Amino acid sequence: MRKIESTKEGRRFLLAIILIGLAAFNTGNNLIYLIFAMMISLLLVSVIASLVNLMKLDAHVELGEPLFANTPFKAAVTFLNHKRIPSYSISVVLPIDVSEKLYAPYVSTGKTVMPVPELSIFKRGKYMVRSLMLRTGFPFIFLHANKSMDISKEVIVYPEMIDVKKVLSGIEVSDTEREALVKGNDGDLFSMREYVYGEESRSIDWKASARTQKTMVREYAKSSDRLASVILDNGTSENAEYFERSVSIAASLCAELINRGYYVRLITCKKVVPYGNGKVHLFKALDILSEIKSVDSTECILKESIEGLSILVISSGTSGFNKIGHLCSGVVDARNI
Amino acid sequence: MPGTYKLFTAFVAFIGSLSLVLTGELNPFFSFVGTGLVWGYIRALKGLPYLPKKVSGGLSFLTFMIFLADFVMTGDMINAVAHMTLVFQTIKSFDIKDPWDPPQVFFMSLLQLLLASELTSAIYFGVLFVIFLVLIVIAVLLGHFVKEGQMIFRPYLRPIVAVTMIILVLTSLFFIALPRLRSSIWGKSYTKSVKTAGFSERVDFGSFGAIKMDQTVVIRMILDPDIKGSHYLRGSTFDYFDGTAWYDTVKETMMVYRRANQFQVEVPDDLQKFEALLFLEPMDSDVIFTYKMPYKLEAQGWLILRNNAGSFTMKRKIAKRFNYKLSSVDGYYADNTHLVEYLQYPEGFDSTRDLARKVTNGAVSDLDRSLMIRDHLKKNFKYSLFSEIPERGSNAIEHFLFRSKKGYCEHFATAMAIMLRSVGVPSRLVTGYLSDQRNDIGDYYLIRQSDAHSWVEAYIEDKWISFDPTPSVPSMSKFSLMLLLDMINMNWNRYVVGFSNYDQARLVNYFGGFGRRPDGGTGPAIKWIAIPVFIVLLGYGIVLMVRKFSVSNPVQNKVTAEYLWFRKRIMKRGGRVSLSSTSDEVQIAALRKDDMNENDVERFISAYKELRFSGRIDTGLLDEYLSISKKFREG
Repeated sequence: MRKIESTKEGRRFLLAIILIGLAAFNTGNNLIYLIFAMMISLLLVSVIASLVNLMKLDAHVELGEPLFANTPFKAAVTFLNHKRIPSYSISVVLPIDVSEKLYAPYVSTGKTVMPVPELSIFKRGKYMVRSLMLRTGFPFIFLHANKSMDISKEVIVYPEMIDVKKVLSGIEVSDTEREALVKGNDGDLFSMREYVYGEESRSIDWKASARTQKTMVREYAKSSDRLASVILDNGTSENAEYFERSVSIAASLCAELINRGYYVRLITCKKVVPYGNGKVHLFKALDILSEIKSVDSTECILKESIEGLSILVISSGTSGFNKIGHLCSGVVDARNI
Repeated sequence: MPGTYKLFTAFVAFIGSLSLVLTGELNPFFSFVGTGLVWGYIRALKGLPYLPKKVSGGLSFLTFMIFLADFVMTGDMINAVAHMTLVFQTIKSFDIKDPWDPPQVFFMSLLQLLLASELTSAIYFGVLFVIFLVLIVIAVLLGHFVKEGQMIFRPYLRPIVAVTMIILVLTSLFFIALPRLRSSIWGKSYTKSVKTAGFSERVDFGSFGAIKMDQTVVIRMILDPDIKGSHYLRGSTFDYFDGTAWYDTVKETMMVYRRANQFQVEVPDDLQKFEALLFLEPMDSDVIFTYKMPYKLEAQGWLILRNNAGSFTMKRKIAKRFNYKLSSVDGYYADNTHLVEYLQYPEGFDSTRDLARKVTNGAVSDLDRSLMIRDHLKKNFKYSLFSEIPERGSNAIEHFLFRSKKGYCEHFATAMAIMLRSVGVPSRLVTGYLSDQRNDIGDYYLIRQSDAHSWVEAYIEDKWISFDPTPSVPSMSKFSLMLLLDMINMNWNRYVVGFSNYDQARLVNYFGGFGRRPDGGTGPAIKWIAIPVFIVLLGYGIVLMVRKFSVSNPVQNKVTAEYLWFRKRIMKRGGRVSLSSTSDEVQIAALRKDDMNENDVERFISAYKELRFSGRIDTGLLDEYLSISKKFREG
């Protein structure tokens, strides 16, 4: 990114300066020289003022995490202006496409916290935000001055979460599975182990914790009643929009099923997140889904056995996973949702 | 679009159109159409409906067709474009709805100002230019904020004023410094020249009468020493009179030796010296008017010619303002060539000869004869611009001398020249200006068309002596306001319209060491500018150095030392920090890479900024800062 960039008006203005300069030089008319001098002054002030505007100005941006695509979140922008004069008309440009412009018309000297509207990011993904850019066109409309600030931060935008309750209710499940959907996790005790951050607090065994002086949780024996597999067909998709929708559905299904107490497994072409429960497990699955891409369908072979509740999410009719549709409890076609 | 932005757009458009209309060069119909923009912008400000797109498109197309017809019929591109812009501005005023419309208006107004600069050089242009500059700066600034989505402008008043002032100063500096040529390269100038009389090779008798009522200023002159009274500016001389017109038959001209924009023509003797700065308005004549007898002429490098009667002309006519500086002495021309031509006597002037002999009866010298003829004309004849027209075929001079006995300078001077020749004294008619009108506000003399004058030079005792036989006429005094306006006008023409590469060279010389010093002395002037500038820069440099390397504050040194240790520690632990990193960047790196307490890091950096940059030391905060630092060192 160049430090100074001209706008459309700026390029026209520059052309006008050249032409008027030639006219002045040709005619020797001092009144044209006067206009020429004014135009050069406007351009020069435009360049210098915009650079001075960004001089000794730092900004710090905090994005409220976790971030989900197309879901409003709160951000905080703090400016630190070391100059003795205020800065005007500063835009903070993130290397991520966000819904609202981060713009401060006035930045006083010292520390200023900028009021920021609720933002949302359009595309899921893992963004390595190496720098953020401060941009200003002040005082005119002829150019933009940019200042890049190194922040080196990883921003993960998870897929958009949608309501999948209706989707789940429409899936044909066995009686046992139906029962499990209603009753939740009430199988045989398998073992006791130490609590891991992010797990459901209801699985904590308080008596055992008191005895051992450690936070212990009960682990139940794996029962097909409480196992759920979300299989995302990420074979070559014909339509990027449908694929994005299928990723959102898969993510939302994971979240909903974990919320209902299932041990959820995420299966995609090439990547699998084994069974697990709790928030930490959910975000493991969401991590995979945040950067998942459609791949060549010929490489997609399902090696895992299908057990418990299994839901296949597809976005096209040509992928290799389509063949296992009949083995699953339900198939969700993103093209129809 | 906010109303304030619309209002300033309207102002810019109005000034652009006004600059064209005031030139007086445009067709009144288009000027009338141009006034429609006032109505258009009033509608826009009131929020009334815009012109339908098809209507504005159709009108624009029609305007363009009219422009083509206008150009083809008149052949005047500048006027045709000016007419078109006036109409476009009016159409646009009814269709100013989108944020990108005002920039189009700004460019159109700029074009109008540019066209006006070709059509006029009057001072009103300067006034409109300054207004335009202020308005365009404000309008474009507002445009910037509108583009960014801001609709309230009050908080930006300060930067608007500051930017406007800076641009005014910069414009002046660029105007002075921009390189320019002596004259145009290609194309003709639209500058209109003043139509004069009496300064060509032939002057018809009576031609002065037509311009004697014209109050147009043609020359302004600053004199040093400023001796108050009437001053003659010598223009052309004429030697041959055929009864109806004077002719200049002396063709021997020579180029005046030029050195560094000076034309040194004669070495001065010990006579009183004068310096005259003359500012000529654009004229249709190539004559260079002189005050007394010049020995040096300093001007921009035009080729200058001098004939053997002492008259100066330019090599070619220029319809531009021309400024020059004369160094003169109160002396006499002494060229004795062509004396026979100066005794030429027209046929049919026998009565005049008889009168001359009668008037000079008893005179013992040519000087006596000259004075007697002059006095006779002064005493016995009346000055009048409304002289009787002689009967067809009759002699105009003899009609003046024997019948009407009323006339103006041409009658008196011609009569005297003929009478002198009839008694054997070589004489010639001189045309120029005679003025006693001094502008006391600006300390200069005003010479108008009505001051055009003619008088006589007679060759007596080896020198040409001037005689003015015309009775003096009291001049009308002017109102102070008029003189004030003229003074402003003169300075406008002198320092803006007439600013040239010659002036630039003089400025460079002045600041480069060859100009006049502020104390009035001669010698290098550079030190008068350079020394104060050097002192200011040196002082500023010392202040900066002291600020940067100051070791006088041990508390601040301690604060900085602790911070530098902290930064070094982060760097050692692989944090992405460099020597140029800001404290915020250090904070981020510390939180990312180090196992320090987040709250401690934030408090430490925040305290560092406050202690280092606020200019005051809060002892409580300092203690906290040092204790956190100690904790870091121990941890």
